Amino acid sequence: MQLIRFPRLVPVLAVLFICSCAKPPLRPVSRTHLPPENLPQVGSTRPPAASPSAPRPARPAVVDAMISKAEQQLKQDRPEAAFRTLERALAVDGRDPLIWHLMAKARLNQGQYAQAKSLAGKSNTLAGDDGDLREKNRRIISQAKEGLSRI
Amino acid sequence: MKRLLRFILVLGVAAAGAAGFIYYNHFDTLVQTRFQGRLWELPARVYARPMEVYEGMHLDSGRFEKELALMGYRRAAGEKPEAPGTYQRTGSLFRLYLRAFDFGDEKCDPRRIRFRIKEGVVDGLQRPGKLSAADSHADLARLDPVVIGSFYPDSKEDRILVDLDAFPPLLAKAIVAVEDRNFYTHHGIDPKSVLRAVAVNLKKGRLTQGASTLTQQLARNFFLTREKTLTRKVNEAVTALALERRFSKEDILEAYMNEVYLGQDGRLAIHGFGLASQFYFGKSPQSLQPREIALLVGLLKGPSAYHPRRHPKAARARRDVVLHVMAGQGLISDKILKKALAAPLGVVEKEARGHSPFPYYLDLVKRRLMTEYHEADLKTMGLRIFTALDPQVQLAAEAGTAGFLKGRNRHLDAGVVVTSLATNEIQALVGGKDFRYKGFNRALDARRPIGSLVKPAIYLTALLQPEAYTMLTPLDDGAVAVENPDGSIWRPQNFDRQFHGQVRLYRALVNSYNTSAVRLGMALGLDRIGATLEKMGYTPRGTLLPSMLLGSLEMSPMQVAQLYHCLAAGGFYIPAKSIRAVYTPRGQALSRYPLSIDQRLDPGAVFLVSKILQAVVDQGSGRSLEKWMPKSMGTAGKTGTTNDLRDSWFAGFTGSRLAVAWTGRDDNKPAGLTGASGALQIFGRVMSRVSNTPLVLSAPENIEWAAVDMVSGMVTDPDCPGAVAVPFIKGSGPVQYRPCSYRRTAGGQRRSPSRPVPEKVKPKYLIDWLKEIF
Repeated sequence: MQLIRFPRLVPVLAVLFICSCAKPPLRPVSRTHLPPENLPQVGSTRPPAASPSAPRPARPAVVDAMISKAEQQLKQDRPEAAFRTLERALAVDGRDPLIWHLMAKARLNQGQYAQAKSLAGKSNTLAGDDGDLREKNRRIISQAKEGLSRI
Repeated sequence: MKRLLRFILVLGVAAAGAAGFIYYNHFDTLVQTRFQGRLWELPARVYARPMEVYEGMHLDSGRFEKELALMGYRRAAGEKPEAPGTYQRTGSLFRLYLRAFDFGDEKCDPRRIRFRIKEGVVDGLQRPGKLSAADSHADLARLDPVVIGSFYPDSKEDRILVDLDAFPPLLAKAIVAVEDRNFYTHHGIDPKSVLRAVAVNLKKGRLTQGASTLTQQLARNFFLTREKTLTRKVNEAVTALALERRFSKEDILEAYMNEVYLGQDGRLAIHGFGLASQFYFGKSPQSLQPREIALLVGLLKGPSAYHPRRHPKAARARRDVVLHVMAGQGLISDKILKKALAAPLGVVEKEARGHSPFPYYLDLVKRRLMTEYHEADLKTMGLRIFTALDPQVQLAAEAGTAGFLKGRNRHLDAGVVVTSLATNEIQALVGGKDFRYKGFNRALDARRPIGSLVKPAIYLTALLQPEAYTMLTPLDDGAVAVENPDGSIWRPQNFDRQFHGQVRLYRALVNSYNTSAVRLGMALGLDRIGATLEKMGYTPRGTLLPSMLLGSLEMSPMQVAQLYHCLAAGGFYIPAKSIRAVYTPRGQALSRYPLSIDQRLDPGAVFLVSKILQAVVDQGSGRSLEKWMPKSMGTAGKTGTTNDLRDSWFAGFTGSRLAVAWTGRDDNKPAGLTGASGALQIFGRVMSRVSNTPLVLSAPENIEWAAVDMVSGMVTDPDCPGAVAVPFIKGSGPVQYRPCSYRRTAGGQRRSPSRPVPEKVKPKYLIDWLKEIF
């Protein structure tokens, strides 16, 4: 009797066995825009010395002054002068997202939409978790796209 | 008969009058045409970037002084720099008296600044002499730039054009006093002087005294030949009359001061007081002292005989004569006369004029200019060309290259390009080991196979397809055979002659494995990789062959720099730039080359490749860079080596600069160097000599991180031992979870495996329970 039942169990056991070899459990895992703290990163045996999540060091006074000057020039409707001021600021700190953002603004004011879009995109890649700046960049990108569609 | 004679006489007079009129008219027209057109053939001047000094700036004292020397600044002996173009250094404290300069977008007067360089950083930048303390702080001080070269007219005349009101009034007065006292009263010819000269010459029986007015001298220099004939003398007088009739005394004096010949520098003729004051005293004419003015005015009598460097005694005697004349005319006081007579000549050492200090960079600039300007215009229009060359970086690049090549095979040569990460401005360019003599420009013209430098483009092409590839995708690094278009079979090998089985994508690039790269490249398709290369800034020529996957593509260091810049800039293409702007001598901008940017590649995929390139330096083929660059700099880079060690490459970047180095032999014989033992060593030497900011890659919006168990490639908990943070394009990361049996404590210690793991997921379903069993 038992011998007769066993072959019937074989397919059931086989199905269960195959299922068990399937993928490990799926579970919602934590995924973050910033890397988990104090964890070595791929390709490195130790946590990075400077983390992208760390706050940006204080802006050098000279860049601050140039940004203020550029903002003033933008207000005075002198976008080309503002752009040149910002180019000089980039020589001091090329990774400051606000400089790139203002450059995008200057080009947008001049109707150079493709440049404005790329510059705002560049600012976004450096903006880290500065949501406010990202939002401003998004607005420029959307206006630039609108401008491009009109051309 | 009488009537006939009278008629002939009248006719003769009329004919002579008509001839005279035609004769005069000829010179009058000539004078008008020349004066109203471009007066002189002016050489174009090419400038380095103006140094901008600010608080907190990284600056090496030694190289800063070298740049000051290149700018023609003199170190003053006293406590304070006494004139524009001088500086004083006391330990770490620098006091500079900056020269006036027209930067094109800003004109600056002479001004003083002072600052310290403490441990390589500028501290306490101030503008002394201002009214309030607040005002004395300068955010930024712009220094007049180094002249890196000129494009001279075929006549080999060199001059710096200066307006009359920009010359010191004393200079004009001294010229008039010495050369032509009646200048303001005569009409081009001074009859009194002529009579006096005739009398003197008759008395002495030979020509000892001339009577040329300044106007005649200008006419001679400007319009006529140098031959000494009566005809030329007459022509000169007529031209002088025409000049006086048509133009004001100020116009004539200004033209004279810019035209007059004041010496020879090799093949180049020094014309005008603007250039002469630069050539003899290293300063602009506005800053000339009375004794210096006297020396220059004295030179008018005989630039060769009174040349202050060759004949200092004669020059001094002549200077003193002029000083006495100036005092006699009341132009200087007795006190100044006494002081000036006691002073030395004060002539600076001869500048290396006519030879660019950086001929390879000048070559690059010229090629760029020739696409927009005619060579003749470049040589004659007096253009002012502002470039991006950074002498600090250039000197570092040269020192780094020389340091590597020293003592090595004499056939070994090199090419180096350094650019700014933000703007892709070319800051330095080394075209060969003879830095001061332009020859074959290897940085621009040596097109050599790039070896493994091409691999990031292959992996980038893969990572641009996140649905198919991530950093953790396993690749087969086994033996591979590829059929070429001609039917031949290509069997690439790894550098270590071994196969490594299944390797993760990032590991294959970190270790620069060949067979996995070829397999991946063939799977992706050569056209796709070609398209990626094109987006990065290099358009492959001809049919792409499989060997391209291991770098049979031939590129110059400059082309590689453009390619890698796109990676370094996060997928944004910014064309390399050597020229910032071109201005006319009058300050009108002819061309500006603003930054332009084009987003061409997904920043997320580029971010992943850049992370891998950081790993190449951290633990891959670029490890030896730690000798030069601290690990904390996070430098990203890639080595490249070609067959039989013929070419050695390294391309890398920090947070602020990118550099590409190539070394090898022009005859294409093996150099015996790998990318790591050759070009990387140059890169390290160069980059360690300039300031760099650490490369902290900022993750674009479409990047997410997960803690991954690297053995299984599954997601795990961040506190699991062996957990590694891995970035993925959103949605492409692994979804499988692997719990760990023991965890890391806050201090990084492992907890006992026997302790319960609270986060462990309890099997919810029978199927999960079975999985645990099997």
